[in-house]
Amino acid sequence: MIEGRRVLAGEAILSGAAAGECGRDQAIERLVREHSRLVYRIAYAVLRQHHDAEDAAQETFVRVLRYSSRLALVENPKTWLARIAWRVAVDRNKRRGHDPAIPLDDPQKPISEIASSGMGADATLQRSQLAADIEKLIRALPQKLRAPLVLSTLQEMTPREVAAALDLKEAAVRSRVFRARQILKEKLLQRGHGVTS
Amino acid sequence: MKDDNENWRSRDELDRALDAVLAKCAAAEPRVGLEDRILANLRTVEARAADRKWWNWRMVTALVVVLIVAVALAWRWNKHPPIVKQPAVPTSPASAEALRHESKSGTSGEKAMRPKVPHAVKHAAVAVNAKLDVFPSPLPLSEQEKILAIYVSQYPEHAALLAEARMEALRQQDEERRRMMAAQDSGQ
Repeated sequence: MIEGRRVLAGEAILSGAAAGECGRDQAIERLVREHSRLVYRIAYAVLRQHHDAEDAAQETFVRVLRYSSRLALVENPKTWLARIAWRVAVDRNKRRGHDPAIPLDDPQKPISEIASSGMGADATLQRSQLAADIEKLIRALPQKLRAPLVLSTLQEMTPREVAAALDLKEAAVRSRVFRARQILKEKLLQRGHGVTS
Repeated sequence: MKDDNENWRSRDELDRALDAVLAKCAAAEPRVGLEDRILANLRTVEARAADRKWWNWRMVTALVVVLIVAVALAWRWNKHPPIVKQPAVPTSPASAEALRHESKSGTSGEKAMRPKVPHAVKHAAVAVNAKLDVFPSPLPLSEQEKILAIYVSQYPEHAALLAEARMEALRQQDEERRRMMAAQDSGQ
């Protein structure tokens, strides 16, 4: 129901695009205002660097501007934008040619966590090591499993929208997410995570 | 039984860790003002594209104007060939004779002075040579020519006889010169 309302809202945005240059500009502005955060998050999920994600978001909307003459034909702007953002981010990742360094949130964070939480230093280090391993393993997943897994974790995207963005069936998205999680858990168990905790 | 429980527990923990990491990725927040930056960038891109389009139109217009001017000039050139100035023959027969004689015995200096005329124009000049009466304007007769003209008008028979005699003498001189040349050739 909510999803249907969203699609209708999107249609309302893009119906303005058909009404000349001014309508097109307004439609693009509304797209930016409503979906720039989603686009950014999709880009960040692939690139894992804030400035790269922002550049990818910029590029996504530049592409939208380039295809603005066909804006009125877009059925669901959200999934359309998500698809463009995903492609832009993947292209950028390929162009970059190497995996970026895993960003450390804050070098002081484990120390502050140890100080604030009731956990010991070992547990905190173990947890940060687990997080780093999971990130590495996610990046090592094949593209067809990684895309549904990453997109389905975004709160803004329903499985149906993920499926539309990736040109898949909803059932395929669910099964790929399940398989991706299984693989990740197997690999983590092989690395000794979870057994000792 | 205990192993199975531990395995499930560890799997649950891994699930939770996995969810936590994925949620962390999914909850990435952009720097404040992302929308404004994107919109500003879009405006810049659009302005640049419009500018480029404008420049393209200007280039196209300039090219079209140049083409039109070139075509117009070529058309005009073909329609009106350049006017060639021709030397005119003086109106009086004496000066005409003098001019013809002058043109036969033209020196190399005179040839050098003559302006170069395009090949196509030369033919046109030859065709027009018949009516050489425009330029240069006829020179006034010298004293001797005036006396000769008066004499010819008063005594035309005498003048004709004198002219024939003179022509005969010239012919004889010419024949004599030729004979001498032939004798020299045979002697060698």
